[in-house]
Amino acid sequence: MVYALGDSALTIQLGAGIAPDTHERVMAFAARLRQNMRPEWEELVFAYNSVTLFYNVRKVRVVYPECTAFDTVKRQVEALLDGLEAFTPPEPDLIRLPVLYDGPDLEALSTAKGISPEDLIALHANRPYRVYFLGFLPGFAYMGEVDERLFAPRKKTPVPTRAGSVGIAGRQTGIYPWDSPGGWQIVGRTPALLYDERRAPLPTLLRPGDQVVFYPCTQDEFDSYQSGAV
Amino acid sequence: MSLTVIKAGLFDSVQDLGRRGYRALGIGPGGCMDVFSASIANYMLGNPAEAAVLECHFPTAILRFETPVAFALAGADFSPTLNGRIVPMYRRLWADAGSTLAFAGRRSGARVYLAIAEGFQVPLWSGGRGTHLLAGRGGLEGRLLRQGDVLPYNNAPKTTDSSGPTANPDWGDPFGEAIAFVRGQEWGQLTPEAQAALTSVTFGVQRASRMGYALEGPFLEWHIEQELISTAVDFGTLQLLPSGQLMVLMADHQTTGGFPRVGHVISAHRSKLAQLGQQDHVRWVETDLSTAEYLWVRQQRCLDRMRWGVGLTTAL
Repeated sequence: MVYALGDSALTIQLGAGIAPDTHERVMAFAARLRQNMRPEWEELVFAYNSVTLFYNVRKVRVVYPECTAFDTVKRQVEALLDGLEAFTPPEPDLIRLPVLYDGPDLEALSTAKGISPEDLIALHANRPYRVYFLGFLPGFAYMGEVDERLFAPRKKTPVPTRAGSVGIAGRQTGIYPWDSPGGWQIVGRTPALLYDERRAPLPTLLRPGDQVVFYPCTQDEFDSYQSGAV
Repeated sequence: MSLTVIKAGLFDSVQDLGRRGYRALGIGPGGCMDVFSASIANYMLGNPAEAAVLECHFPTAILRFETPVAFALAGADFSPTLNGRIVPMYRRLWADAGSTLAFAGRRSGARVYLAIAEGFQVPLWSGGRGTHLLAGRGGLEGRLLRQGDVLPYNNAPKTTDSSGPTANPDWGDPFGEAIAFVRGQEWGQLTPEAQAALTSVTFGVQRASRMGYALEGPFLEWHIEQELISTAVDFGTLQLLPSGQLMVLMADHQTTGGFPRVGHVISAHRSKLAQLGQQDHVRWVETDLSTAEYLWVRQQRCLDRMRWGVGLTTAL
C-alpha cells in the first residue's frame, strides 16, 4: 500500500505489524530504492513495516508536469515493488555490545516480572535483536523482540535518562545515545558510542537490519572500553 | 568579524534550511520554523537561501555588530531598532562597527530572522548549520544564545548603503488566515462529527515550541482501532493525541511517531503556521494534493523572483 504523507512525501507500507519477515521486506525494498534513487528524491525513512520517501515536488513536476508529483512518484515506487520477493537484501552486520547491568529500573522490573535480576539479565543478554529503524533521537535504534517474560510498559512520565542507557519498552529494547528525557525501563548502560560524528561512513553505530547482541560486562570493562574496538 | 550577544533573548538560535539525508539515522531536518522568511532575508543580501541565520523569538536578544556588515530582517515584526532608531524589515541594511540591534516591541508574528552577509560562520554538523537542541549539537555549540556569545561572520565588502529595494513577502496565498491541510492516512479514524469540528472550530495554540504546537479545542472523537505502530511523520503533521486534542509537529519534530496522523499542513503554509505563537488561534481548511503542490510551486516561484531582483518594490 502506498499513501501520501502530506504533500512532499509518500509511505510504502509492506506489512501489518512488527514482524521479522515484514522487516525483511522493508530492508529489501529499501535496498532496491537506494539502487534506483532519482535526483528528485531526497531521502528515506524506515519504520517497522514501512519506508517513507521524501521528494522534491518542484523537481518532479518539472520532469513530469502532467499529473501531481505524488502520482508520479507513486507510480515509480510501485514499479519497484514488482518482483520484490526475488530480491535478496544484503547480509546484516552482527554487533556485540557490552552492558553494565545496573540500571535504575532493573530491580523494579525484575520484581514486577517475578524473576530475579540475574534471570532478567540472562533473558536480555546473549540473544540477537534486530534493529528495525532509527528514530526519536540521532542514533536511537528500535530493536526487537525481547523475550516475552520481559515485556514492559513505558513510564507514564519521562525521566532524565543518561546517554548509553539500555532500556526495554513493550517488546522493544533500545539504547539512548544522548542524555534525554526517557520513558523506557532502564536495565543497564553501555559504554559504546551510538552516535559519533567521527565515525565513517555514517556517524551511527547501528543501522536498520543489523543484529545486536548484548553481553554483560564489569565496571572495570565498562571504564576501559574503547569505542570502536568492539 | 562577529556579533556579540549583549543581552540574551528568550529563545534565539542559529538555524538554516535544515539538514538533508539524515532522517534514517534519527536526525530530523530541523532548521528554520519559517523557511520562507529566512530565505527572503538571505536573498536580500545575495546569500544562498541555506546560509545560516539567527532565529529569534520575543523578547529578543540585544546584539552588537563588532565590524561593519550588511544584514537583513524578515518574518515577525518586533519593531527592530539600530542604535535606537527604527529600521525597515525586508531590506538590505548596513551596520557600522559597534552598532546595536534591538527589538522594541512585538507587533505581529512569532519568529524573526536575522540574516548577515555570507551567513553566520558556524561549523557544519551532520550536513547542516542549524541547532539540534535535543542532541546539543550544531549551530552555536548546540544551544540557545547566551549573554556574551560571539557569532562569527565574514568581512564582506560594502557594496551599497541602506537604501536598497524592499522585498514584498506576499506570494498570493488564497487562504487568508486559514491553515490548509491534506488528509492524513488516519483521517478516517475520526468520527464524522470530529472531522466536521476540525474544519469549523477555531483552535487555540496552548503551547508553541520548535518541536510542535499543542492545540486546544473540542475533544475529537475517534473509532477504536488497533494500536498504531511507529511510522514516519513530517513538519506539519497533525497528530491526534489520546486526550482528543491535536498536536502539530514543527521544525524539530522527531522522525517517527506513534499517534494517528489525521492531516498534514501543506508545505506552503508551514511558514504561516510558524508565525503563530502561544495564545494565537488556528482555523483549519482542508484541501487536496493538487492544490497543495500548486501553491508550493507558486511560493517557490515568488522566492525565485526575489532572488533575481524581479518583483521588488522600491523603498520610499
